[in-house]
Amino acid sequence: MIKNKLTCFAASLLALTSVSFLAGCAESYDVKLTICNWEDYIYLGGKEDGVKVKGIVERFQDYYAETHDGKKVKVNYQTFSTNEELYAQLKDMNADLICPSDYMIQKLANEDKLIPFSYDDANDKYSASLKNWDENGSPFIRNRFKNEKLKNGKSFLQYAVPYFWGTMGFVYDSEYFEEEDLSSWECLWNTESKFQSQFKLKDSVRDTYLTGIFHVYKDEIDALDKTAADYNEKLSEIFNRCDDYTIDAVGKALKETKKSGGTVRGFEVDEGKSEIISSKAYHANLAWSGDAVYSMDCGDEVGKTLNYIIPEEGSNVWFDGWCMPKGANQELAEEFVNFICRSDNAALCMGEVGYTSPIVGDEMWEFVNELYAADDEVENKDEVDLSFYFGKEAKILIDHEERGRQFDAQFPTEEELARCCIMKDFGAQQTKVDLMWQDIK
Amino acid sequence: MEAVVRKQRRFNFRGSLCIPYFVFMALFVVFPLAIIVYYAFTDELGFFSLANWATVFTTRKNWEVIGQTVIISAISTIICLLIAYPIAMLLSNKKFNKNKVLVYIFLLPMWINFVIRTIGLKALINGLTFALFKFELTDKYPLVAIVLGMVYDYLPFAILPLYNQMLKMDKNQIEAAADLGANPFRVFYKVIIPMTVPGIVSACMMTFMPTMSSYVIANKMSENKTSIIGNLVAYWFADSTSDLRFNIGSVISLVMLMIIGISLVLEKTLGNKEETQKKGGIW
Repeated sequence: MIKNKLTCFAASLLALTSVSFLAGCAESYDVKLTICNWEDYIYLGGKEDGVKVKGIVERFQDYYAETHDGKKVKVNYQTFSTNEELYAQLKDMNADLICPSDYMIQKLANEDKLIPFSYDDANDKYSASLKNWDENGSPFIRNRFKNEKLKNGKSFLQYAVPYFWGTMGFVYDSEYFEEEDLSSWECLWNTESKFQSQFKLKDSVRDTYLTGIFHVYKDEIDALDKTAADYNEKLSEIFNRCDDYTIDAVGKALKETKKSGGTVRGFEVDEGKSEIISSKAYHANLAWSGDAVYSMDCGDEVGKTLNYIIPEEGSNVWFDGWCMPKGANQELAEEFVNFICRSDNAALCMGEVGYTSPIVGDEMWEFVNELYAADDEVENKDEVDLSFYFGKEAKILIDHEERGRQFDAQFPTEEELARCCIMKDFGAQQTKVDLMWQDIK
Repeated sequence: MEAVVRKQRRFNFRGSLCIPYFVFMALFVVFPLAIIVYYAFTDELGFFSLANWATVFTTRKNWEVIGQTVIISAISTIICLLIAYPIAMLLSNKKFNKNKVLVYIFLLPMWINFVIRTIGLKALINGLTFALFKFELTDKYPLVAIVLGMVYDYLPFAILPLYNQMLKMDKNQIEAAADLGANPFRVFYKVIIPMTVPGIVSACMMTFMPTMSSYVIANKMSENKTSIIGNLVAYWFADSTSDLRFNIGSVISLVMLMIIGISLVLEKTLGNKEETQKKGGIW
């Protein structure tokens, strides 16, 4: 009998907990949207003067209710920290929207894991459901990525709507290094004692590989005609080389930087952006433009002036874009992308994240002016023309002292961007690249 | 009749208590291991292949990393032992360590996450070496820094088994040896050490095995530029997008498993030998 009672008790306890658990889950909603984004990569709300400000996700929920007769959407917002992690977990996530980087988008699209957006290749236009992108997308970014073709001959934009973009360069302590010191990637192979153990590179083969490419093919790159129309195309071809000879040569070149007396003291992917702010022992860090903005902002707070430079041979221009994995709720996903492409929302996210949004509407231009335009008292001002990027008359006055800093990291010049290339997936050479990378470390 | 049935049932019930344990072992030990073996012997399409083994063993760097790892682990273990032994002796001394407070002080660091401790150690030694010699240890001598990190993190694991063993030591034998004219060195060498062999063996195992796979310590203490076997495994499973990532990663994990297995067997036989010697000595 006692046993029976116990069993009864246990069973009822179990039943109770499961009921309450189910009840907890059964929050009422009509549709559900699962988003998987990078960490710290969206405006999630905050407090302004003690008043809670809604984040993008909540704003979207409100917007959806307004436009769909009070229907409720539940947004399940998840994060990931590397493209590779996203790739590995894609199946289990059941996400409707993901935000991988260019080379991963390429890989996923080539492996037929993505649903295409309704994009009209010939006219470079999405359907009405993405009209905010068509209205606000920067013409420069559109041109750049429209021409980037996938294996099946379709455009990049078919599978991804750009969300943020940026470049890669050096963040450096302007008291230790002069701009000329780091104006070429060759500084990594400089044997002067000033350069010894002064750099940290990325602990990610995709990013550090390019520094080797610019060294190995330096002569060929210098011989290119920079004014030619197909300059970027030719540079991209060199930039994306990954034949056996290149992999070997890049591996050797990188190994040289790392040996004792070399310029590279270590690799990092996350701690470098804060380390460079306080570091006394080394003074330059290979950084993505958004991280560079973060480092420079923090440096300003503690009185250390950091600068950002894209070396003259060229660099990488990358973007992260919204993609729909197979099985996604297409209509709802497009609605969210359209919402976040609204100029005011994009400005909110850009202010939070530090990378550059490809959205250029009026609100964005206002935001940029508010952030960077020099005060009237400043005497030495540079006029910078961003018309090519904003697709309309867009001139801004920048304090001369602030050049080569946050503003230039977020908005590189047209000429700088002409020498930045888009990375391609290593494809079948990936294993060889991985082995080369292990050999370096 | 009913009593018999009941008895049988109770017997079964007891036996069934083991089921969760077996299920757990099967699910989380045997099954993953089987998957690793499967990946190690197949190619990216799932066909039987030894190519992964060839790739792993023909890459010179892998041998270098394996050798480097074994050396780092061995040196860290020896240093841990050399530091831990006298500390354990002091701690087991009742006069010196009355309320066991000292033991807790030595075990206290284990309450803090080891990654945080390692980052703290790195900042400390880098600050020191930079102030004194104008270079940072993790930058200039990453291998030394790694060993330092390993010793720092695994020292408590060496102290604890030694301390336990020394508490169990028969003090009368030590006194007897001294009474019979053995000098302190002889007492230590002939009596104390043989009596603490089991502690030494388990202290070695507790430091050697984890140091082989603690790639986070290696990463932090060398600023990601020196690899141990753990790094190789982690790279293939977590960072690579190669089609062969699980296959090559599995081969390396099996290699690591084998090295740990060999070291286990070595330590076991070594321990047994000493023990029989000790027994012979007593009789």
